[in-house]
Amino acid sequence: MSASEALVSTSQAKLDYWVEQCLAGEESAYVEVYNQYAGVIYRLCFSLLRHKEDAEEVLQDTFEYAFRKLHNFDPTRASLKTWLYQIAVSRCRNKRRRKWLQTTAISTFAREQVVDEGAISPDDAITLTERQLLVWNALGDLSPKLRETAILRYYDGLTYAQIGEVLKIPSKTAESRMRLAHKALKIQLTEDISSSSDS
Amino acid sequence: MNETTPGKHVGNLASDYVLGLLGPEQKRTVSRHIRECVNCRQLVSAEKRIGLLVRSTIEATGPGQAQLSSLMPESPASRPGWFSSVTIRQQVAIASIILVTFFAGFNLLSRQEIGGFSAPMSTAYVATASHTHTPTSVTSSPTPILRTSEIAALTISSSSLNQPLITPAPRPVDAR
Repeated sequence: MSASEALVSTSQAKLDYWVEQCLAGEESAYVEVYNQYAGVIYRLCFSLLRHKEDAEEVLQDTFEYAFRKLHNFDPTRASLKTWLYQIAVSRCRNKRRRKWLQTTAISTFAREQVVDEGAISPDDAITLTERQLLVWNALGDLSPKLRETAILRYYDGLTYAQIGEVLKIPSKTAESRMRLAHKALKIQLTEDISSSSDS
Repeated sequence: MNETTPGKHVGNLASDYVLGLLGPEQKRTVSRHIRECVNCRQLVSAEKRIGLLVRSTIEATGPGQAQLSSLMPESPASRPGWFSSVTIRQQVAIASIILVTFFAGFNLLSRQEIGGFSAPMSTAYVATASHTHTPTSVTSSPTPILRTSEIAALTISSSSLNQPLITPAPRPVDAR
């Protein structure tokens, strides 16, 4: 067994132990699980929704549901991370759908200028470099389906089978979406990459 | 055309190579080629950079640990044991029973207060076409109950104070 495989099996054993402790009603185990995954789930939600408050709300909702339904979690079907991703992505979709309905209703009847929800707020922009802002905007230009796939692949390095599980699509569909997303990002970011290569 | 030999340039396979979409044989061939070809190596590294940029951007948007900790929802372990074992439907049912019992008890108590401890209410009577009395309160009252005929007699007697209702008949005229 290689060192990386040993590390994975150790972390997997630790996770299994935490899940068992959670089910036994151990408060500290819930905190451990939350600390382990809250960061990645938040970033996933924020990248998908592109709205800070919405991402926080979905994060809380995801863990509230996961803690409540932990006894339904089957480790033989999916890893805990994949299961949490499934819950989070599903909630992000619902959130986006509700928001879209509200925005459409308002813009139809009031004929007002709708605020771009993808625009990052000044507080968040402070933490991003100029190049990262370009990437952020390029991600925002992707369709939600392509964005979901690209984020799961690039950010967390999920396999296409895992992406398929999370998004409830065949792995071949995940692969073709990833090709499209990569191509679109490459077109948008070509100038940025070439300029950074020159410097 | 997906076939690649060590002599051929990677071309369009660079994206698939970076995205992990090549089969094991193709992957080995491309790996061998980019070790020798500088142009293809640059092409592959440019493709890889897209993924790295996206990853670093998403990493940079994350909140601090303190903020994350403040967002942690209440865990089932912090609730009472009986609470976590009860489903939401059962919780709603229990809450409904408590509410109904509370309001029923309150209603009953308020009725008892009216009958038992509050001052007796005067009973009002309404004379209807059928001359039956209609009490507005169902509670027993210490005030004496008057019948319609007695009310009528009282009315007559009160009005007779000023003007007699029965006047004496005129004396018969003497025919003689």
